[in-house]
Amino acid sequence: MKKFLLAFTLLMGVVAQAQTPEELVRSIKSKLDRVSNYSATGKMKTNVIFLKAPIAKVQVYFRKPDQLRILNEKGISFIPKGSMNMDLSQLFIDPAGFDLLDLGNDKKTGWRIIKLLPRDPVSDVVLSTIYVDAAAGLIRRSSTTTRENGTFELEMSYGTYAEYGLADKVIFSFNSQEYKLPKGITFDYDDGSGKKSTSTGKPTKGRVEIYYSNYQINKGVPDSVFR
Amino acid sequence: MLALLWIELNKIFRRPRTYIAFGAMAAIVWLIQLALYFDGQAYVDLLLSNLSGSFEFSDLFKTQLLNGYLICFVILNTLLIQMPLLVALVAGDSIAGEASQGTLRFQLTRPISRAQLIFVKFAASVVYVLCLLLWLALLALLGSVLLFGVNDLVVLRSTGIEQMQMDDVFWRYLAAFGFAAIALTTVAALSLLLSVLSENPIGPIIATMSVVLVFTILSEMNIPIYDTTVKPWLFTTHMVAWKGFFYVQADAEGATVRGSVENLPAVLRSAGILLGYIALFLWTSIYLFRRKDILT
Amino acid sequence: MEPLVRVSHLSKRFGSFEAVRDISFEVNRGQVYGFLGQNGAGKSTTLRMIMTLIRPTAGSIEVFGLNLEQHRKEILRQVGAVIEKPDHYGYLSAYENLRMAAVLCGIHPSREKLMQQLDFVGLADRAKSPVKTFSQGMKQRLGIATALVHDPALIILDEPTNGLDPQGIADIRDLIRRLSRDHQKTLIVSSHLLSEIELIADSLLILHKGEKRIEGKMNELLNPAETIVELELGNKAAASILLQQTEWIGSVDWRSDLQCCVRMPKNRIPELVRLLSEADIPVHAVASKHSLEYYFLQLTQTETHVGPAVD
Repeated sequence: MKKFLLAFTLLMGVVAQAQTPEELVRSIKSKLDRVSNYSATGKMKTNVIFLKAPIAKVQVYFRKPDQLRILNEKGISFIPKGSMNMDLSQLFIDPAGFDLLDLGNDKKTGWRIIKLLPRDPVSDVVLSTIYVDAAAGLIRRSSTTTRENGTFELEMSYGTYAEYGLADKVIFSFNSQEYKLPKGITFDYDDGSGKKSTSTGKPTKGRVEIYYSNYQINKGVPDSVFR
Repeated sequence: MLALLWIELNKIFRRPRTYIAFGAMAAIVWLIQLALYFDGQAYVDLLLSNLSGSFEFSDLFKTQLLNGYLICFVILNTLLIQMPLLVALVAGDSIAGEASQGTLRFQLTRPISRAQLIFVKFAASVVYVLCLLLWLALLALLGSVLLFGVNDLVVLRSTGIEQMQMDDVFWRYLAAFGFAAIALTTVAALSLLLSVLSENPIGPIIATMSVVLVFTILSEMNIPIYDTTVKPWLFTTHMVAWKGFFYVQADAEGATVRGSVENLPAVLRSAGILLGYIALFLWTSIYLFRRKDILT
Repeated sequence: MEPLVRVSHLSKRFGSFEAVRDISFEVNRGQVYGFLGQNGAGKSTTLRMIMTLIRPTAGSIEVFGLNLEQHRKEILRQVGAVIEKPDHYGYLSAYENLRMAAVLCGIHPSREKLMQQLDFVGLADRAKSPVKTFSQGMKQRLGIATALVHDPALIILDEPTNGLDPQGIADIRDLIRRLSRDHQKTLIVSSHLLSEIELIADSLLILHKGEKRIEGKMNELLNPAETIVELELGNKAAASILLQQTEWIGSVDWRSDLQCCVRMPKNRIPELVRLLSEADIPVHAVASKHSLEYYFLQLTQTETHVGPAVD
């Protein structure tokens, strides 16, 4: 039995390896196309050097082709700029709009690395690199550079909703600008600990982790959410 | 002693001028609340201008941000300078005012000791401070919560942002008001000391404000030679330690730890220093008052 | 009998200025002790030292046989004072001021008792009025009421008739007499109004420039056998010689070329007039002054210690 499974996995790997980038992208798109809209409950952790925020319970709403909203109805959540890019399905609206570059497999993870270069010179996306679990047909990681919101990275983990290409956990990394306010405005309390300023004068990396649960897929999302 | 305290409280609260302080405070608080009620979005935009490059802020976010807890924090910040004046108005008058009126003789020809008189006047000043803070709590906290509702509190520091969940805020305000009572009692004790040295109440009131203003400027300045020598010992440096209750700890991933205070030992140390100042001012007041010739 | 108040070598210096210099005196129980002196003589300073408002530079004060510095509270429970003008809390009523004074003395008299005390000083009908509406005389009376609220054995009144009209002065004088005679209180009363002291005091101390000039019983200080006679004469030169040569004449003080004051035995006034007439010295006016005023003025102007006139 064990030998059979091993052989099957190897065979699938070979089959997957055998897929062209276009075929991979098509298979990803076919999964993503199954979802017109969804809402999900999320537990959001924000990790930015100058921000201390509590873990928040949020609602995530998505509607095709490119509407994504993260809402904290009860409390306050700092939503990073470009958060709509947390859902990669917009990349796959028109796969023909990209040139695909196959960079082979990532040595550590074995994921297929594909670069997407938009053909449209005025496209907001400048470049996107996706790391695909070819066997499962799921994007596990991506790094996308946009004109408006800079470069961000996504890491996805899947579970119950993998068949829809919906992750259980998404880590969204983004560039955050330097934060500093004059002391004469804030009148800070100096506790004498001699803590140095966290400001380095350079943009820093921020991270948002969302743990998704309770997806409601294709049940409809009201317009009011996106207003 | 209680009977004497009752007399002093009677003196304070029977005088119309005492209510100037309460009225002034109400006016300031209401003005701020009114301004933020009608033009709060502009204020929020200003607060968030530094962050708009990193985060997106929906109208819902801005409305949630501008909640009663934030308004109260803004009001407390604003009243940082005014409150000591309101305290000095009463405490600075306690000995000098009576000296100028001639009623100090009235009291000191009775069988009460000078130390007793100082203690009682100090105690009355403390009660006044507590009443002032209770009034402020009603106006600034309760009033703001009623007008603007509650939500998470976001506090902007010069180098970072602290966010506390709404059910983790109220106790911080209780602690902050408690600390503010110690801070303002320090001002009352200073005022009382200056009052002992004078026979005209205007002098101690102005002197108290001058000391508080100058020391506050010194406390906020970043001059290396002062930072390590003078600044840690100025009472004004420690008067703002109430804010320490709104600085939270974060775990390794930057998430706020509920119910935490970033540096509680430092806040307690500040409280201890202020209590030390109170003791020093009080002891000096008694020492000087016992030796003072009452010539008015 | 031990004196109620014993002041020994009391001095007070303010910087280089010596306000009170080495004064000693005793006040016996039941006495009305008069403190006399010009403004700035040191009366109020002395009384403030007795009431512990001022610390002496030197000397000691004993009241009821106890050292004042060590037994201050105990002593002040039995002493009531009005030092200079009586200042009250103007925004409070007379009743409230009186009640406050009582509480400060550690007692909680009933409303009736306080009203009785206001009645004693003639303020019962103004009990509820704010003190700021009171006249000076009413404030003075209220001051006395607050001094008496705890029924002290010793009462100190510093210039109690200051700023009062004649009726007010008479009222205060009457009150002092009643306190002494009917209530057996011991009083120390200071004044620069000599006529007032003369009328109420049993004993007297005159202060001048912080020093004691004279102290003694009133009836001894004012020797009824002696008087000051004010003369208006027509010939100063001749009169001077005659008066100088007359051995029973104590002192002669020429005020002007016509007027002089002569200290002499009272029963020899007719003889003086006869002598002047026989010497052809015109006598335009003769007036006998049995008054402390002249005596006091003499003392303070001559800068010398003067004892009771002796025959």
